[in-house]
Amino acid sequence: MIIRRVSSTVARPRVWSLHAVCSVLVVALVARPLLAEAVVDPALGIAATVFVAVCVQALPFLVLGVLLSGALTAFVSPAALRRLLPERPGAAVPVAALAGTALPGCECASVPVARRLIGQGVPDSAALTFLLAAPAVNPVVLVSTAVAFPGEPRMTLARFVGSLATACVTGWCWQRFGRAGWIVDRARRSTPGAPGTDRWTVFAETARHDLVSAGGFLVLGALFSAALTVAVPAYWTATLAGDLVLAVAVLAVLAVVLALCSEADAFVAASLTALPLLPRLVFLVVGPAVDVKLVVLQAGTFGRSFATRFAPLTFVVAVGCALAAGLVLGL
Amino acid sequence: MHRDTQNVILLLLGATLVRITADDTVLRYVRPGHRWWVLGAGIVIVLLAAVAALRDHVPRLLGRSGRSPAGHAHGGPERHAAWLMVVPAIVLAVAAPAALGADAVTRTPLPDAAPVDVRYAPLPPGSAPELTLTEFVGRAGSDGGATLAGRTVTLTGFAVPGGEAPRLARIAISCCAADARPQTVRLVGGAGPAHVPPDTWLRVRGVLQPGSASSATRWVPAVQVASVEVVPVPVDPYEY
Repeated sequence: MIIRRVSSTVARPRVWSLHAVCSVLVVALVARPLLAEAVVDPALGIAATVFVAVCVQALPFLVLGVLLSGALTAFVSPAALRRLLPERPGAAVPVAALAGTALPGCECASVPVARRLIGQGVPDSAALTFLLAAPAVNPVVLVSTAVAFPGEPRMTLARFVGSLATACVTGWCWQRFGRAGWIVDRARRSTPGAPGTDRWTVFAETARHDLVSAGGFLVLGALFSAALTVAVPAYWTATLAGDLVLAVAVLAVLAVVLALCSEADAFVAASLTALPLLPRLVFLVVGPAVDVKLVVLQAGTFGRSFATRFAPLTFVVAVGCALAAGLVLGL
Repeated sequence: MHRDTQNVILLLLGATLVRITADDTVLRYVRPGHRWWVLGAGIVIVLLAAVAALRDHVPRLLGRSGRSPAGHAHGGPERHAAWLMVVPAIVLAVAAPAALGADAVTRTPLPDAAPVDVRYAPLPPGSAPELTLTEFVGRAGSDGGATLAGRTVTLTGFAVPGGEAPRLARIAISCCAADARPQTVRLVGGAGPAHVPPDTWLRVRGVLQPGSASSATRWVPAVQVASVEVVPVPVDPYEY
């Protein structure tokens, strides 16, 4: 009904994309028996379930993120943000990391927020530190880690220290070596809408715009994650118990590939009982900082030349910080 | 992509999220507590799209000069990526993938190590108390299964045929189906299910076979079956 109303009021040939959506829907409905049959294949069925699960799990967090990013743009002036953060970017990094601990949410929520922080004049390094800290060290994640590892309080502490260090070290690296040009201009551009529009309009337009630009990448990330879940892992961990170095490497890669929600990965790590704690800590520190879903989302938001530099940097820093935290705390 | 198209896609996605929380489809993918988040997200998405569409079109329909709806998204990949948001909506509308079941269990390797030894409280009194498979497997692996010794319990799960003995399984999740951890027991003894197809839901009463959760069995305990009945698929297929 809605589709028909809109297309009749804007019946111009240049709105071809609307016709395309309608065609896609019609084709999907016609091909319904075929698609339903495809899901009967075991691997495809599991992949489809995991795909929908990741989307349904992550979309509420993305919506929370775009509402926050809308509110940030509409109601928090750049001047107010500058007053909150220390003048020197080097000092702003740890402040941003601690600010991240207060936002309970998954990775997907923090990407649009970090983008709008940059748009509001926060230094890149501080915004990226926030991006890494928010999903990794918030109270919900720490509590779920403590619940998943009863009798191992050092695991929770090591995760907190390792993730916080990852966020700060990456932020400082970006401040020292990063270039402003690596982040695409559209990420810095402010709200769509003329100056003088009222704040609620800015809020709704920013939230909607960020949702449209990030939602597709979230879905793409979920597709990757589902495909890889079926194609790769399960048997990887079976033969690792004897080799610590190999176990660390494989679990670091697994954290990237599986793209688990940061509130759930502790339970998966806890179930890998055959492995020592150190590689499992690496899994928990790497996962929220860099995974396929997140890299796709970042590439879409900040541009490809950003993602190809930021993701490897984060991966190396996260593995290093996790190992350091684990060794210092004697895991 | 045209703003109207974006709005239609958002409406489609938001309405899909609302719909799967209205029936219990959402429980195939995430834990029950997440349902309200999904519902809220669906409503917000619908509202954002509806407000934008109304602001674009209502003034023009009333004959006033409103905001032109010709605003395109900025260039670059984000112009096309928004298309992907129709994929989950279509998959849910067309196929609504089933909850993970026997296929997911057989693809997951058996555990390599004993479960964490936890001190469990004694079982509740009464004949054949209901236990989740997660709790049963945990108890069987802790303290040599002492808290289960000699007690008949009731377990509900789906059948996973194959191997020396058919297994009864349940998938445990902590956030969504992506972090699934299958929990299984072997069904042994004459009263076990003869030939049920995979994913048949069963309610089993039985006793833990002492010492059956060991390294030799990869810590999959065996249950000496006293009785089995086929039950309908539960609304909530997972354990948490």
